[in-house]
Amino acid sequence: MSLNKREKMLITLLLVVGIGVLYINYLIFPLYDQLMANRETLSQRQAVLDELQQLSVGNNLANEEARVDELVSQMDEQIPNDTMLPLLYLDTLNIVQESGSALESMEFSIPSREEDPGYEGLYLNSIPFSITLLGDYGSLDRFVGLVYENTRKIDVTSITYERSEDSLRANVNLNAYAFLREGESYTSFTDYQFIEDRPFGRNNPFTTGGQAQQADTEDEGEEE
Amino acid sequence: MRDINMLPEEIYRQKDSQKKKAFLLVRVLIFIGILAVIYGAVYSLDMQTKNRINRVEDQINELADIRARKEVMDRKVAELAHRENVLSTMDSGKTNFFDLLASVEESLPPTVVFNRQEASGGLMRISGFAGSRAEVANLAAKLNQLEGVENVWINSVRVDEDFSFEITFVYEGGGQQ
Repeated sequence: MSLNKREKMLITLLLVVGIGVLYINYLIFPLYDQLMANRETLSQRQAVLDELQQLSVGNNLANEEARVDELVSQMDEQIPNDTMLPLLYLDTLNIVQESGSALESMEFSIPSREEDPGYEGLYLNSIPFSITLLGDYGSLDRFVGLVYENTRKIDVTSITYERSEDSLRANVNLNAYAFLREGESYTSFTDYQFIEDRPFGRNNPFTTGGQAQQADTEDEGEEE
Repeated sequence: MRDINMLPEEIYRQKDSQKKKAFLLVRVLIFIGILAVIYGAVYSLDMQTKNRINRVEDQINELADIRARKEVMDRKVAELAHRENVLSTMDSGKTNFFDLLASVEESLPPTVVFNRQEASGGLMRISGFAGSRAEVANLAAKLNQLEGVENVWINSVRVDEDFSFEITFVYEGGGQQ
């Protein structure tokens, strides 16, 4: 069978197109995709390098670390990464004292996890606590106002005011907050400043220690 | 003088055919060459990019200390962003009891005195006494005008010496518990 010139040209064209398609599809496209991916990687790594080089100049990194630490510290004052219960207790005592009301009792419940998607195992927890106060309406009202002004975030969840003989008795339920890691202790070691230079340790916990008495006397003296 | 072609016709045909084959071969080689050049160009670009990535990685590794400190800082920043986000949204829909009590204070008629005021779970229950029957209605009506307050209800009024009463109402944002 002999082919004429036109048929030969068509077969040649078909072969060229076929080879071209296979070439582009199986050689050029994968290589091009790889090139594009590598360029993207290069651009990302270059950005990382530029940032690192920028940070390595002078005190840039130290300054940036200080700025972030300051922001973290500000956040810790509002919602710490630990229950910091002794400080919460002292904060509440200060609020009571400042309001002019009298503290009758305070009860703390254990922390419970709030609705929070969390970040790497860190979740918002609420610390419910209740306080019973005695005072006039003004002082109790001041207490509620001061709770909302407190640096550490505390919310009032319910209030009951009841008239007693010569004053009002208030039972206020509150919530403080802490970011806690799931499964970890909610009271980690904290170097509290207020226990520095205090005497600790006695051989009989069922009697009052002389040192403790002395410390209490010193406290009272300081308060006066 | 005149040249006379004495070669047979077949020899000429063979020569012609060989010429055509050589020409076809050259064209095929050119075609393959073009494909190879294109592939080589893309491959060369890719290799250059890989070499540049390696150089950048080397430079990044030289700054390993800075990188480690930055990673620690980045984790702190991400955690801080989460905490800030939680803090910024946690107040939405919650009642400010200081404002709630202040708005109730503003609704007090002159002779109404509270014995008990309880606000919990979105419901405030007030019991007390009034100087007249009408004052209980005045208080209920005024409470009803407060923003975010609804379902003001006079549960009871005892018509004796001091008109003791109990009123309840629902306040906004009580679902926080």
